[in-house]
Amino acid sequence: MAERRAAQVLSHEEIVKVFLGTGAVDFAALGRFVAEYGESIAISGRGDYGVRIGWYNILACFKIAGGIVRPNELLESGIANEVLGR
Amino acid sequence: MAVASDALAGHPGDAALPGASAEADLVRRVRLGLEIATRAITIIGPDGFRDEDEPEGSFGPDKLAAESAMLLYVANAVRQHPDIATGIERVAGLLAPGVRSERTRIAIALNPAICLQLSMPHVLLSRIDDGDRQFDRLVELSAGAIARDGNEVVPHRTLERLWLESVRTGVAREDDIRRAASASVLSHPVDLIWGSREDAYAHTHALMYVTDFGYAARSLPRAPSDILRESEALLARALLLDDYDLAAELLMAWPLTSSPWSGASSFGMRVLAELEDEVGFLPAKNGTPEKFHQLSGTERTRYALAASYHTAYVWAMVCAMSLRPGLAPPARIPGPRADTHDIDELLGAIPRADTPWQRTFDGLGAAQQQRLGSFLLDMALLTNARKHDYAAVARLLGVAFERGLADGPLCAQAAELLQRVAASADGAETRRD
Repeated sequence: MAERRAAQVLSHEEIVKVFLGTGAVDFAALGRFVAEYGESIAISGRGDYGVRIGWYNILACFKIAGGIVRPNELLESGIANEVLGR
Repeated sequence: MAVASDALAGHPGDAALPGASAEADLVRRVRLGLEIATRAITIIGPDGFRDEDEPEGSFGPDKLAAESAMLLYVANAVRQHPDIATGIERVAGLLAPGVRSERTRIAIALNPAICLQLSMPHVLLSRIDDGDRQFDRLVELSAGAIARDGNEVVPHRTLERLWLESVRTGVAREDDIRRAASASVLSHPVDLIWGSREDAYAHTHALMYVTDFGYAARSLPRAPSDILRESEALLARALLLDDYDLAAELLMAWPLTSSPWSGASSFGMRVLAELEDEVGFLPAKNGTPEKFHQLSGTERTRYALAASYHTAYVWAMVCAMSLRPGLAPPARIPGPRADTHDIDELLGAIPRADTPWQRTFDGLGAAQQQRLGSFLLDMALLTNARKHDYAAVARLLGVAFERGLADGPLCAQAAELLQRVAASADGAETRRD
């Protein structure tokens, strides 16, 4: 509890400063370690695409698919005509 | 790009446009949202949308009705603009029969624990049309039933109920609202790096309900500036992931709290405005699902509207909120000006990609780009943390601290992440010494 209280009074900048003062850690190796073993854990339970739509869950979004939005492809697809009725 | 849309677009010359242009631009965007609502209610409103192949994308008529009523509720605050008033009347007229249908009445009668959500379209619409006293009586009975609290909910959902109750009765239970807000994510940070989409929605929704979509000025459990810095980091994440639905919800935070637009939020408005101008409407990330190409005729139209209306609504709401006095986004990006070298260094930590936010950034003049140091730092930290390049994150934190940019919530969470990851791994394998 004491540690938790101490953490709460530190500013964001002080938290960064404490971290920068903690000494030499090979973060490149840590990244490889986590990427190899941790990805499935990080993605399976939580993540950006865990969509839950309830019939009374207002303002819940439609399914969000992967990939990136490409305006050119959207224009060529004709979806704007369908949405706008023009 | 049309002159009016320039109000939210980049200006290499750094020239500010007069306020009237910004207003006309925002009115045009709200009007477009109301046009899409007209079409969505007409075409998919009566039955909702069912997709056997993608059941998670299916929804009943209640969801569209509730969100349409919410759009009207927000837009009604700026109905002094004739085009918006006309659109509101048109959509309200289309919406009313379904909102107060026999089906909805029976659902409210049978489900007192969720009757407020079920009656939301009626409650919100009653602010615009003549209402329905018989319907009011039914909601009153259901909301007063013994089982009315039988559906246990998380704090931001409690805020939603309290908000609806306040709109329905005209009386806000201020103590209960304050308590629920203190239990919500408005009182404590969300995980900005790996938090779920639902976590971000809790953040945006809690703010909508506690402020009554901008109609109520209430004190928040934390300083608005602390909450808005988290909104900025979540906005960067939404833009990184091309999640424009969430990005638009996050942008509401500034007008909802009547706060001055920051560099990141005014930039976010430009990204979404330019994307809308380019495509014709603000697309969801699932903009052109593969299935769209396989459909034809009415099915194709219904699918397109079902996949797209929601993001268009949220964006129209942001624009309507921004039309309230003094809340329009600035013509120039505000904020402290970073050194060109710092901007280049941060850009170097972000992979180049032909994404909407990078295109908008490229279109800005150097002086405007220099106002986005804090946003680029958030974007660089998120990009590298999410691909587990912790060496890059540690390097960025060092740079941020040296340049006086480290006092943001994402910097602090990134530092804590590295500390936790270091503690979780085998020290013998990962320590240099």
